[in-house]
Amino acid sequence: MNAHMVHVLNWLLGTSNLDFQHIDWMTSPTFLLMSALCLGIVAIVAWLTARGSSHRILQTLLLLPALLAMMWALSDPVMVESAGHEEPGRFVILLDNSLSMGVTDGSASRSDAVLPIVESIDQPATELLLFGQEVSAGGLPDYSQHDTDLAQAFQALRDRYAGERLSGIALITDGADHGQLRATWKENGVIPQLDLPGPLTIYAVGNQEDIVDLSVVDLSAGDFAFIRAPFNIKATIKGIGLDSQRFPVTLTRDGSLEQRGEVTLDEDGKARISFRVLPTAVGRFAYQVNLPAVDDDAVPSNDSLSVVVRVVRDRMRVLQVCGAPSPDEKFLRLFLKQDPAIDLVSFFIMRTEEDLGAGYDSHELSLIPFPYEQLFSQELWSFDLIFFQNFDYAPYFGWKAPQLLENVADYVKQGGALVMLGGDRSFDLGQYAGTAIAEILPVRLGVDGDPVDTAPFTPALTAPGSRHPITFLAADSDENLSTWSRLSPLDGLNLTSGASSDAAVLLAHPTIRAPDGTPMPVLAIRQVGKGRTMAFTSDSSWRWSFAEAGLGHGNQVYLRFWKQAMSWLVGDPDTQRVTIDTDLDNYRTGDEIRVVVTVRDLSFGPLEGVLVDCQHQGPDLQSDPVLGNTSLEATTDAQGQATFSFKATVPGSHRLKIRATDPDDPDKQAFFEGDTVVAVTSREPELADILPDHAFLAALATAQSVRLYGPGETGPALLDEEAGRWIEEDRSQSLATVPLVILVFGVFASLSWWVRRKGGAR
Amino acid sequence: MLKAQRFTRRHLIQGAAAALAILLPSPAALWALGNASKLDLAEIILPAGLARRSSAWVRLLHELVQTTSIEALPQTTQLGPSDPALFDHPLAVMAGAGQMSDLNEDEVIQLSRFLRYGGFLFVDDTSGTLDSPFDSSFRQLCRRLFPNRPLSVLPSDHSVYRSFFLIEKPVGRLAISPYLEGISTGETTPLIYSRNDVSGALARSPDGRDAFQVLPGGDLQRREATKLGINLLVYALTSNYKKDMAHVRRLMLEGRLP
Repeated sequence: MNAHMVHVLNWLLGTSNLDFQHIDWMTSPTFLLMSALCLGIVAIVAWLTARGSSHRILQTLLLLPALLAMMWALSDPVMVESAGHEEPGRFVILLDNSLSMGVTDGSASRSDAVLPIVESIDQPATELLLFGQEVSAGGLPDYSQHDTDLAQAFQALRDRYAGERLSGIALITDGADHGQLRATWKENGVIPQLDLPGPLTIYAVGNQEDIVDLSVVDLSAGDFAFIRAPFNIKATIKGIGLDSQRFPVTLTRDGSLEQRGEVTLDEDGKARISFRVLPTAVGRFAYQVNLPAVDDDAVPSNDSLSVVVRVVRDRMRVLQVCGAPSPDEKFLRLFLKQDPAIDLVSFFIMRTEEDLGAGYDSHELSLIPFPYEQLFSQELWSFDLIFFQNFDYAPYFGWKAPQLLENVADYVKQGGALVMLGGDRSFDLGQYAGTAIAEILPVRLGVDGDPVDTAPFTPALTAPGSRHPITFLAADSDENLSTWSRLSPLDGLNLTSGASSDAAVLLAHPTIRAPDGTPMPVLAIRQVGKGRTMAFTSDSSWRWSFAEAGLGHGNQVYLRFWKQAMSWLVGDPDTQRVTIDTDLDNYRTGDEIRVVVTVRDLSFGPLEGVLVDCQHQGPDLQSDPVLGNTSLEATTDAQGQATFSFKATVPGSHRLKIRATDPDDPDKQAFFEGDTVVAVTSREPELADILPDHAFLAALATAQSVRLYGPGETGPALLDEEAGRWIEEDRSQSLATVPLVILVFGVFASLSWWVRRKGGAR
Repeated sequence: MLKAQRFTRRHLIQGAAAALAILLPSPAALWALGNASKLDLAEIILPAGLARRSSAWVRLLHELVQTTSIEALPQTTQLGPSDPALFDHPLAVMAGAGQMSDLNEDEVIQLSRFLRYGGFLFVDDTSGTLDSPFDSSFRQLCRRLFPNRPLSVLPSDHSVYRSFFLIEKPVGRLAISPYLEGISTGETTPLIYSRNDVSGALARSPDGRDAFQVLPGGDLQRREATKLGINLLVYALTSNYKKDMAHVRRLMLEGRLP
């Protein structure tokens, strides 16, 4: 075949040469079958509609090549031409990109040794693979990976270059592998064959002798603790280059100093310290163990470690001290005893000095002495809540009264809760004026004139009372107001000099005024230090239970009132209508802190449309340099939830203060205020053990029979001179519409049509 | 932690003031929060079968005030079982010898509600026999009040026997039954029944003398009946208080309880 013919054929076939290997048919068989059927129908119709037998035969014979050309085009044939060429084998550098490579050994960072090593390798066709907790190609190292897994890096290498023979592999690392390979070697002293696609050369970096580091390696406290039950926070301290030295250790809670301690590192540079902590409040608390900064500290960020401990209440422990059994005492005790979540300790004064002349011997009685000293000196702190129910201390406390009452006041200030209920032995009648108790009550004592008013009355709900969770007893404000207005009247009340300046009055007498002109308090509450107090100046709240039941309303109002009062008094987060949750307890710097505030109505259904304000306060009450003391606002959705996000930028305790406000409230008074805390740490797991492990790298080199260069050494890598790879280059071209097909179709279809018309057919 | 108890001059002055306060009469007696706050008794009345023993209950309340710290008004209020005012008096009594009138459904519901929501009822068979018409009609009423809770013998360690006095044998005007019976709901017993005519031992004639002779123990038995009556009222207010561990442990330590 001469050159002209080849040229014509190439033109007709649309190709550059005839050296193709195979043809791929791109059309599906189904489509092809359908097309053949259609073309067959065309041929049959043409046969049937032609005139004259000779014309019919000729027309059909001419039509067939046209239809075959059409079938060829519809079958979409693709011609595949194969070509290729041989290239030399590639060289791969596996570079440790983890944080430990940024550690300073002496005066230089480990990463400073990388460039001279790479330059010494000097291979063409070099590819760089970075490894840490994951493997990546094509980037520059930033030594920011949070973990090192060598086994995973080798596996990624095998997968990436499967079937290829590499000219060489250079591994540059400090050997601080936290994956399976080193763990197995440490446990069994064995390193398996790695079956790599090329000869390995190991370049070790890092210098153990030059490192100085003091770190909190481990901190354990359990996930939660029980209130007033001591628990231990145990820390493991590790010092490198600091063997046998003594260091102070501090424990902080939410940024405030809690305890001090001291450790002496042993010969291995390790020490343990345990802090015994007594939680006195329920909630989440960020505890942090801190070490002092030492000179040339390789990793200052591991000098402290934080953990959030959730302090919970197993059962609410309540002390009910009552001056005399009464209907009010009876119904309160019934309520307290029926709740399995309450651990009740009751002490009722069953007889007084005045009853001693009744003529009965003490051996006839089942009475026991009132252990007031033990209760108010030793056991006070074991209670979440104390009821002084018509209780006068003076006949029992004697000369110890000032100290014992001060103990109660201290107990409240440090997180306890006290309720004083009215009666003829309570408030001014209980001689509390001028005592430490008077200083913490939400009402002022020392009333001039009559200390009681005995006329029955229905207390009025105040503006704060209409919103407060203690007195919000119904589904909405109107129903709540209606509930309070229909409740049975109280029998009378203890008069006071009015509410304390920082107290909230929730219920007031409808007509009687305090000396300052304000309505006489009936129910008042107050935050005192870390604790709370409540004054209920009547002794007949029992009527809200019994009289209501007599009317067929049940006793739910009474139960709900006291349940809510107790929940508020002990500040129990689990029973709050507003809860604050974070997705984690402990965050790392750079993480996003996600806060979800859930607001519920009285029946604990989701409350939509509540305005929630979230204020972020940085560690030690200092401003976060990025966020400042940020405040964000959101409105609760249909699930009653408002979500906030903050970026954790500074290590330490971060407090998140939440305020929830009813948007319809013209005064914009918050009906809930609370907070939670999270710990942010800059600690990296990768930096927990920063020592280079050259022994491991030596064992790796021995096991694989490869070359190892020590720290500071550079040199040529092992090479496989015969390594190479075949580069395939396939070229494909569609033959569906090449000129030959178009020519055949056009010519034969036209001739067929011409013969048809000559025969007389249309 | 609590502060160290350092004794200062301030403490001395405050302690002296507190000691002086003990010697002075309690202001409470002068300034009670009104009579409505004080304990009294509702005496349930029916058209037939019940006996009015107001003098006995008044005497019992008087003894209660004299013997215990409880503030009470020595008075009773006669009420029908469906009277809404029953719920102003959480403690009620009922005494009788003959067959009680049948209570209608509303009365049963109201009395049942009274007992279930914190009220206490002491029922006293004054007939002096163990199979009186009162006893049978009362047991029938109990089945209507508490269909699923039987009237049963109260065990010897029940709180009512130690609520104030240590009672070994619950006697009244008579001593024909060695035990009390009651219906308990959970840890409390809102209804207690005696067949020894406790109110008979306490009742007084219009001239102020004891209305009935007490058999067989005479005045000593009357004293025991009074103690039982006080225990019943104290129990009504404190329920199982005496079962609290602090009390049991101490009484056992002192040998007052086995």
